[in-house]
Amino acid sequence: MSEVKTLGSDRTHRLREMDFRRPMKFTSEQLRQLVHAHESFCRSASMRLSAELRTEFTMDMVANDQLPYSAVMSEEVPPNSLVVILRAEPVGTDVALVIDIPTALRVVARVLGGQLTGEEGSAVSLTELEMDIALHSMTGLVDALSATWSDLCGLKFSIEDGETSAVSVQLVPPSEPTLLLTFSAEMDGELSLMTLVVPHRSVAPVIGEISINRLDDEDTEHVGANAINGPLGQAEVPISAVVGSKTIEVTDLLALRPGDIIRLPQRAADGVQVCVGDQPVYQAQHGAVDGKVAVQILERRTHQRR
Amino acid sequence: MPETVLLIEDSPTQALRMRIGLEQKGLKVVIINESTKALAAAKENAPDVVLSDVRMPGMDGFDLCKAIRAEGDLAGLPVVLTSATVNPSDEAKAQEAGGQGFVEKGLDAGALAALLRDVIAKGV
Repeated sequence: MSEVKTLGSDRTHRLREMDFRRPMKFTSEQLRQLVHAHESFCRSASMRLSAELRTEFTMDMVANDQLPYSAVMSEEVPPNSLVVILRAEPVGTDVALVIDIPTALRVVARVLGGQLTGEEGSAVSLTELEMDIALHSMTGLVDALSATWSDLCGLKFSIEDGETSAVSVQLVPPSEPTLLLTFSAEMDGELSLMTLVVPHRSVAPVIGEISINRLDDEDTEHVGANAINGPLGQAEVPISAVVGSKTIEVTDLLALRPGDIIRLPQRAADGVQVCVGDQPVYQAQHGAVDGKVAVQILERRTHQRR
Repeated sequence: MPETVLLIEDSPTQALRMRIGLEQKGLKVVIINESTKALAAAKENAPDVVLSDVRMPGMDGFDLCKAIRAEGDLAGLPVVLTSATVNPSDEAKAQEAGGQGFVEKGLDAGALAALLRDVIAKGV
């Protein structure tokens, strides 16, 4: 905020500098929560896609920005991209997930059991068949995204359509303030970017719930913090890291011999659960520190909202 | 030793996209998101070339180019300007400001890397 004195007048006007290229329709608090939620999304999407594609797939949240929709689609994303249009229910609006063509092709190749070399992955378009396979293989990613937004404000996403020209995708009017959440995606040693394009009007009916939900959490955490700061905080709690579990018959149990393998229903990519009693509290990955077994916490398991 | 590019770009997404592309082509990229910090960054990082967006808040790419030319330490540092839209008057302004090139954003990373290496080889 700056103050200037107008010529020929003693009145002092208060002027606020506005950058119309960067409309701030999403509040800083909403942005903070969205970024935090999408960091968790990246972890779950990485685990899920690594398992589905049978190769290491790593996603990270790397940037966020707010710009008019036209600037996003003409300047922020490559002109030739896989634009996955997502239907947001129950509001009946659209958002878009923009994926670089080389990344989409690498995903298609992995789904088909192959692997692209650097040169093969430099194409700038997709055939109809590649588009169909790419969209189908994005289901897991969209499910993880949907779970994140459902927890934030009750939105669920489903794949509606796919395009390969970003500028031709008109979800909202060109001047609509739009949030970009940019993720890095690394697969087969190649790094690329994915961008979630969220026009404000697409989430406007429910975006207010983010702040409300946070207040709920804050209230809960405040009460919990008070309890923990009291005598309860000194109580000892046994925790365990659980790889998986299943029920078997006693005869099978007695028949077990060294070298036998017990197949558990849990997927290897899901890591382990840190439990208090039989209650899973954190998702973790196992490893070793100083020669001893250790687990690294990945995320807190979400509790059921009221 | 890879050539170092000082990338001045206020859009974090575009900056990352360019960095990934150029690093895959063997260049080292240092990103500065505010043009007003570019001069200090140029002195600190000793880049081989500056790649700067034209439209930025604070100081635009043309003024930044003039400021680099006016700095004794940096007078020999090549500058390439980039913009989402390229028109002849901008190219002329880039030349007047002392720039060594003007490219449209979205250029293939291989072509951009080749252009930057060419500019580095030719110098100011």
